[in-house]
Amino acid sequence: MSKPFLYVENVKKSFPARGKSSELVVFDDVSFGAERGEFISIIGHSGCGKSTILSIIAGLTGASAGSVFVDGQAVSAPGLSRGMVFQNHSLLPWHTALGNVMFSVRARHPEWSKAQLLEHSRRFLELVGLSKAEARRPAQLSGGMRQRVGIARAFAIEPRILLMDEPFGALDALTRASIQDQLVELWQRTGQTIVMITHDVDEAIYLSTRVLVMSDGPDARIVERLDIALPRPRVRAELLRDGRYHELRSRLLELLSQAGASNSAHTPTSRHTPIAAAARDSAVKRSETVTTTA
Amino acid sequence: MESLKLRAFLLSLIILLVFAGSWELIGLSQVPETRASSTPGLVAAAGEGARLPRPSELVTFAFEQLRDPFYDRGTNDKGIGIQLAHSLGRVLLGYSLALVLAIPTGFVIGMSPLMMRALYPFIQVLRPISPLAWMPLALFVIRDSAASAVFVIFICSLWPALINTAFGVSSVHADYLNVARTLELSRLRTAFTVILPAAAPTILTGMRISIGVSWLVIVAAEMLVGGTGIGYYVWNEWNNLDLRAVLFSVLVIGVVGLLLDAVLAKASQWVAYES
Repeated sequence: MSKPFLYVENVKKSFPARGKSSELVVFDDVSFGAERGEFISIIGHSGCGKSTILSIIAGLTGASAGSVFVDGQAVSAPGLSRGMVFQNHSLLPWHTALGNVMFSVRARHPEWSKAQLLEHSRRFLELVGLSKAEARRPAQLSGGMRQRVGIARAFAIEPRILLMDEPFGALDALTRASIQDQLVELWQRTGQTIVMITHDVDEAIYLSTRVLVMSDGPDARIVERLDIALPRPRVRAELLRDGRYHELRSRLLELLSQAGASNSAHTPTSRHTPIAAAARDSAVKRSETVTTTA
Repeated sequence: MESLKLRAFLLSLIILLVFAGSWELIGLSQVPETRASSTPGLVAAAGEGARLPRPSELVTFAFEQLRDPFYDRGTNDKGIGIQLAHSLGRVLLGYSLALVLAIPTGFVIGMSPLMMRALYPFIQVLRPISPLAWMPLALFVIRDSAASAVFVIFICSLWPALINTAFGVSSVHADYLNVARTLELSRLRTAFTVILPAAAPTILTGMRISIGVSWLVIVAAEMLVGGTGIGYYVWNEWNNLDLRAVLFSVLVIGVVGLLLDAVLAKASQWVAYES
């Protein structure tokens, strides 16, 4: 059985025992895979280490144990194969919006001419609807616009895996909805593989093909893996009338509220509905049960 | 905010006129100094001339000097323009040398906590040493007075630029560095395309403080060393008891200092950004 495109294997993050305090395990035994083109969301309460998992995949932090494989190769250092959308945009403030995208594209394609860089960067800015604002600096953009530039910048380098760390956390609901739609469109257009962290259950269901739920830290684990078998395009108004959506939503909220209670125990699923196909403790998602719809 | 600019300008003008006006009036009513003072010889010898010149006299003198600033009638009689040129030349030389050392060193220190700690005591000991204290050492080792002056400018204006550069580089936001890491930028590229622009405002501030120090130092250094230059001119005119010239040159020093600072303030604007 070949490994999935992204394969996180038994990753653990801990801080060693110091003096009187014993070893602090943030999370342990975290394993999951993502196939090409999937959109995975990881949800959980603050402090469970989900940002750290992303950071480990990105190579910005080291894992205490376990490995990460991208397309069969182990990765441990940061690189262009894993693009990142940071929680606070992290745009370079001395560059314009266009300049920021071009900066990243240039790093990816150092041999390209200025014209090529411009054309490529402009294309992605247009896809997030910011063509008119390309000459503005981040300080002159709204929070939503800054995040969109961050998204354009990450997509523009066409990484193998795109990592998003609570990208819409700081935005109001309306802006968030509009950017989510742009994100879905971008995702479908490019076939990008995405791993996103969020604590918004609705967002996770709306955007993802699969949702992973983490228990609370310390010693957090993945307690559930839910396939989101809702067809696309997903329309918010229609989803609200869809029973499956509400089931998923309830299930996830239930898990999140239980999350603190059971860390090591496996959360039993009494339901065996077609929607919620929970893979309990398996390291790799079996390919036949993946129901990605595009 | 045009109204604010206009009002501020008018207020400045009023303050100037009130100050100059009062000075003029006091001067007109003043009786020449005759009573005993701490410098009796000076006062006695000067007689009528030993009082502070009035603004009107100063303005007349200024016009004379500025009409022909580059005259040269011998060693101790050169125009204000020539004196300034000498001073500025020395400042630019000493300042540039200081920057050439300060900025790369500051960069290295900023990026390496080890170097920061190791060099810190040296920086802190050398920094407070007054230019006047450096002078004898410089003259002894370098011997040439002009070169000594340049050296003293160098050694005194080094520190603000160095310290600010180190500080600016070390406080570059981790976010920007993470962006560079995820883009697989080499250390050199990261230094030039991320760290440098990020630290530039702080570096420019250091450079701005340094030019102020340079200008301060040159006047002091020239007073000691002599020859040519605005500092020497002030001292020489004091020895000639030409207080108009002294005051005038003091004002010129101030104005040139302002201009140097303005140049660097403009440069600071170019690299500024909002985060």
